[in-house]
Amino acid sequence: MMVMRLYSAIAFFFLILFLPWVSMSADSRETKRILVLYSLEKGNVGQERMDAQLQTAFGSNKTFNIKIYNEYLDLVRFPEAKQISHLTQFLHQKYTREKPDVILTILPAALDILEEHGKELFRGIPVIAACIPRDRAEALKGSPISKKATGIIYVDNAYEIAQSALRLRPGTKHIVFIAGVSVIDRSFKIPILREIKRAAQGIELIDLSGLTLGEILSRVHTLPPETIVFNTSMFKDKEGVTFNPPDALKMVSQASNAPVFGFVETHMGKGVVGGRVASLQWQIDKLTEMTQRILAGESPTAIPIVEEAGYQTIYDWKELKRWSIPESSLPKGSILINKELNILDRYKKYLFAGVLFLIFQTILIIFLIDMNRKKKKASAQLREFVDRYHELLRVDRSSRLGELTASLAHELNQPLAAILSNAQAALRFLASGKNDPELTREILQNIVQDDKRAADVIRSLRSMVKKGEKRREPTSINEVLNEVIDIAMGALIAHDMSIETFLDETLPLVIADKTQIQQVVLNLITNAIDAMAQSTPDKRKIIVKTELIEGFVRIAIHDYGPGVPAEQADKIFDPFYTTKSNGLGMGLAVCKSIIKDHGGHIWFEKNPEGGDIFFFSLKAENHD
Amino acid sequence: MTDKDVVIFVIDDDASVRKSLSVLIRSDGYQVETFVSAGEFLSRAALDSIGCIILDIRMKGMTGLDLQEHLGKNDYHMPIIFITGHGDIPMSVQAMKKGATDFLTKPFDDTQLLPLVESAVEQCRRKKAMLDEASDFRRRLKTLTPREYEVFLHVISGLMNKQIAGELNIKEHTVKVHRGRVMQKLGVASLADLVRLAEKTNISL
Repeated sequence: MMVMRLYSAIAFFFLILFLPWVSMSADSRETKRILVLYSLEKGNVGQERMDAQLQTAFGSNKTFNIKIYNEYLDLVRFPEAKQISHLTQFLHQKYTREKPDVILTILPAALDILEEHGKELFRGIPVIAACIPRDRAEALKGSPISKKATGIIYVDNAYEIAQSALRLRPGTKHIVFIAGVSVIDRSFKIPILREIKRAAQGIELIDLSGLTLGEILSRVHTLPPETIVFNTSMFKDKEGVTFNPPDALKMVSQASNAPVFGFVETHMGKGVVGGRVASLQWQIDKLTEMTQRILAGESPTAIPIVEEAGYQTIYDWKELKRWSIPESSLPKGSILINKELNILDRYKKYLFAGVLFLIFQTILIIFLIDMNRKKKKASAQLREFVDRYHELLRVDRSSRLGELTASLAHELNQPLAAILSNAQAALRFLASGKNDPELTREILQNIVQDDKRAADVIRSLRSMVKKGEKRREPTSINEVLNEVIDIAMGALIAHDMSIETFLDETLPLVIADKTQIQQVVLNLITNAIDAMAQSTPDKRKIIVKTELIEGFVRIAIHDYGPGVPAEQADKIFDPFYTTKSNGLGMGLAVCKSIIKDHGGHIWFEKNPEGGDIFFFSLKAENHD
Repeated sequence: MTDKDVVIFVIDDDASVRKSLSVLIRSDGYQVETFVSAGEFLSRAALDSIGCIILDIRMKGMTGLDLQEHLGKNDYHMPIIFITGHGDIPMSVQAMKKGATDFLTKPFDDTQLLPLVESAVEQCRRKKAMLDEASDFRRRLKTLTPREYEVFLHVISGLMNKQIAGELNIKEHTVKVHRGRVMQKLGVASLADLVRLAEKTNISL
């Protein structure tokens, strides 16, 4: 069982592994094969970039199912004829069955092999030769494969580079030239050297190409002043040691006491100062385009050899600094690489964003702290205000109380003195042995009345100084009036008086303690009744009106009595001030206290038709 | 102690005070009449009664002090007991200066009030008696003939019969007869009484 399971697991694994291939085989597109012959071993930077580019360009072709075959011929390290013979045989056998539709050669070494072995190898298959030096174009045209080949010349721009180098280093007296000894090295070196000579006429030129890298390094270390170095490529030195040219260049540059100039884009960043170098990308783009044309069926001979190149002016910032070449002396539009930004420059954006954020955050924090502080302060102030308000209310009432104390003492003293006298009278009657029930009743009635009177005083006093929780709720003034009128109706009938109401039905509510407002209204109506006790029958009526005036609900109670005498007008709201023989003088004082406490007003005016009109007004709800 | 003719007049604008004083004073056997104001008292009360006035010093309209002044000017004889609240000291002092019998500060005990009432009534009675005697004397004086009055004036000035006779140029015997008639008409038994009454009625030479 276990074994069976293992097998099925393995089978499943392989199925998954080949699934993409299985799906590809179902592709209906025509298969086209591209064979890329790289001159160098795998790992060269330029070749890698080219491969990546080709994979991208042909990986998802709509017309063809394109397969790319890469061969790294490693011809610098293995240039021997015998090796090449084996290599060609291998390639021949390898691609007999799956013949390429186009062959791309990168760098001249691979092209050399095709030219030499073209008859037996890949006969009739179109060739595109890329990255070949100037001189190779003519050779290609006369070669056995010329009828099926086209190519792209690597136009080195050496003349311009040399000129710009001399411009950057004015007063240069010596030029040192470095190159390797491999076929590729030489094939690039020759035309470039020629161009440099043309550009640097009259300047001593020292060619170190024939030396080992070690020798070169020691030489460049001790160059005379006013020297510049040109480096093409070094795949191989005098001793046959092979190099990845950029690595060799890097060593040279590090050892050199003079600035080093190069010609290839891929050498930028390895220690060359820079210049207007041919763009590798341009080559790759061109190569891709030509490959597509051939795959599409065009004949290679119909596609002329490209003898131009795209260029980019690139300088190495580190090298500029190293040789004290000012950035300002560079041509306009130069690309600066390796620019070592100081921390500020490198992280400028982040720094800026960070600082901005920090500022924003700080402002926010300050704002929040400030808000919090203000809020606290405001709420403390509010609390203080509320406390003070209550204190003021209390003090106000207390101070009013203080003013009243004298009259209050008198008011309480009267019934208390009376009770004492009554009680003592009763005791004396008892002691004398007289039994007079009528007299006893009289005395006791006196005591009861006096006691009630004392209680009234206390009650009204308490209502003035009470400091309990206030009940405040939306209250309909009309409702209050109607309720109070109901209560007062008995008294009105008893006094043969009528009451008329003109209540505004659209009146807004007021925020009030309903019970207190009832008390105010009752006091005013009672006063009106008392005021008209002596009036003639046609002047025994009360008119109650409500209306909204400038955000205040105003209540008016008209009577037709004799009216408050003018000299008493400013005293009638004072506590214990009364014009009635049986009054305590607290009614209007209590009304005023309540209305003031509600933030309202209470006053009276002469009624043009006789009597007085007592008004009080309270702020309507939601009205500011 | 009780005397049907004695009336205590209570004047106070406070009903409680009036009623309580009324029963308290009645408990001591007096008649009490109460008044709500000084005006009512003046218009209604028998001002020549024997008794006293218990008067609230603080009243609307005519105050207790006003009434006291008015009564004083018109030679009424009833003593006034003022009743005051606290803080009425200055008024009380003023009242006392004008001859108030006493004043009481509310609340007061029956033991404070009633003796005051009793002594006030007694005072009133004495004063009344005195006033009655004087007015009687004055009335009697009017019954004297001019000659008798002349003799009376000389007698109270301390002259002997002989001296009077000389002064008036009449016989000593005639002076004696006139003197007897004067004594008889004026209702006095002795010279001392005559002099006392004459002094009391402010008759001077």
